[in-house]
Amino acid sequence: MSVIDAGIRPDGARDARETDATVGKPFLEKKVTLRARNVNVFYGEKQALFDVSIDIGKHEVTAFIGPSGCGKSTFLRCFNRMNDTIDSCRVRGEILLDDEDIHDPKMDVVPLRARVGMVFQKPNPFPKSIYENIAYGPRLHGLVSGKSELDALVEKSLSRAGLWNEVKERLDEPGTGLSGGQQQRLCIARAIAINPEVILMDEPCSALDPIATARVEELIDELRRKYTIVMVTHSMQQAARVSQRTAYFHLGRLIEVDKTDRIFTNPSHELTEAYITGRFG
Amino acid sequence: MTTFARPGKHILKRYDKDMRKLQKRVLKMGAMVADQMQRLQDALGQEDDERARQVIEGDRPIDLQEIKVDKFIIRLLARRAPVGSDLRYIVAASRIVTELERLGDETAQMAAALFQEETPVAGCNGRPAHGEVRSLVEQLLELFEQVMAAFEKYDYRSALQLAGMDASRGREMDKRLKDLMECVFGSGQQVSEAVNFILVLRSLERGLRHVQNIAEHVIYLVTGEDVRHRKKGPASA
Repeated sequence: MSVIDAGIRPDGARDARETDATVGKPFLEKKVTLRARNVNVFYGEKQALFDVSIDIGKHEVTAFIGPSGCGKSTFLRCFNRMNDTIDSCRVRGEILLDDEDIHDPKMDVVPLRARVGMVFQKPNPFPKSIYENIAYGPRLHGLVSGKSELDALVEKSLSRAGLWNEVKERLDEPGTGLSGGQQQRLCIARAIAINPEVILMDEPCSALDPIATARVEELIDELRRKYTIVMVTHSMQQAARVSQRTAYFHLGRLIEVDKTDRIFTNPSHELTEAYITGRFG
Repeated sequence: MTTFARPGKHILKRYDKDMRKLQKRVLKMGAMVADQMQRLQDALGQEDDERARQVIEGDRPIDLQEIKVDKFIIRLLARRAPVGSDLRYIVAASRIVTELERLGDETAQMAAALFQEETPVAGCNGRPAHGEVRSLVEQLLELFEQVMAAFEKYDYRSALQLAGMDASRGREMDKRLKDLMECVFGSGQQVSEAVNFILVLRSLERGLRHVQNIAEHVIYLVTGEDVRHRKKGPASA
């Protein structure tokens, strides 16, 4: 029986790459929310990302994994132009959100960041009440017309974030008084309140205990029905539990993207294999 | 050319130690099964009832080894949360251990069927069966040793040759088993006379199938491709 007869990939993808092309399936045939093509990012003279191209599927959780300094957070921040806030940072290449170029001079970053919300590693509620933490964004973006509408939106956002029952009796208390896990869900509720299409999450559970992590992961799983989620995580198990697709970055290059099941059982690239199995370095 | 290299070392040295221990335990169980087959071969060659009794009793330690390896695998899964090649290795090892336990059962059952009566078991056309069975056990042992070597050496090419019925190394044995079965049923011989011989042929068929299954598990652990049930083999396990 030949290798091909047995259904074994004859392409030798497991061998060291001879080209810089990303292996796996970086591009999708189904509905895509974000398209990145040949994205290069520089911090001053130093290049942090090299020709990254990937599709982010609609209503999917895509996890970015890789060792520290591999560029995954830098790439995540490209999706809502957060890198614009760093003076020395230059982004080259194309990123399309629903086929709109986010670097188009006509593109206003304020509504862009409303469409592409972000949740950070460390929960960062505003030093205001729980209610105000949620109400601030919709008010700023003019999404509501009256108090009752705003109340309803606050309740809806907190409910979607699985926090309503825990805080409904104390909406006037400061958001900073909540536990770490609750604060993170408050930040997710805050992101949801402005009705984004995409939620970017940069290690959203790294500061949380396992119970709070499980709650956030459960929430992410529910949220993906309505939103497209891109998350950076250092936890291999979290990527395996939560995401549908996983992308592996190494030294600023996107090495491999594929279905999460595939990445964690039979990755195509030896660098991915070395990283996920703890053989890196 | 596709190459599936054996993975390098983990950052956690203890993890490597655990994986080596797993391989050692599976190989030990394989060696126990091979010893059983060799003992059966000797019993048949020397018409030695005592040896045959040792084969029947020798199945118990194999069962206990299965439990021991299983416990170790469960501990590994819980402690290491393996992924990628580690996960495949552990899953394949777990499946191989099950095949080994069944191979042990088949060997003991053959010993019981061949040596339970005073007179030697009749084979095809009423001829004594021991010589024929001995040669088939020898063939099975050879294939079994090859597949365990493929497991040890991470050798998916060798496993590929052992896995399929067509053009595989087991083809000759499979044909001999079929011919013997046809001979028994086609010779007009009373089935009651040949029942033990038929049982032994069935055990050998299943033994061959277990060897092929192990080869499929080796292919999976090396390449990640699940080749089970791609081609329906004539032998039933």
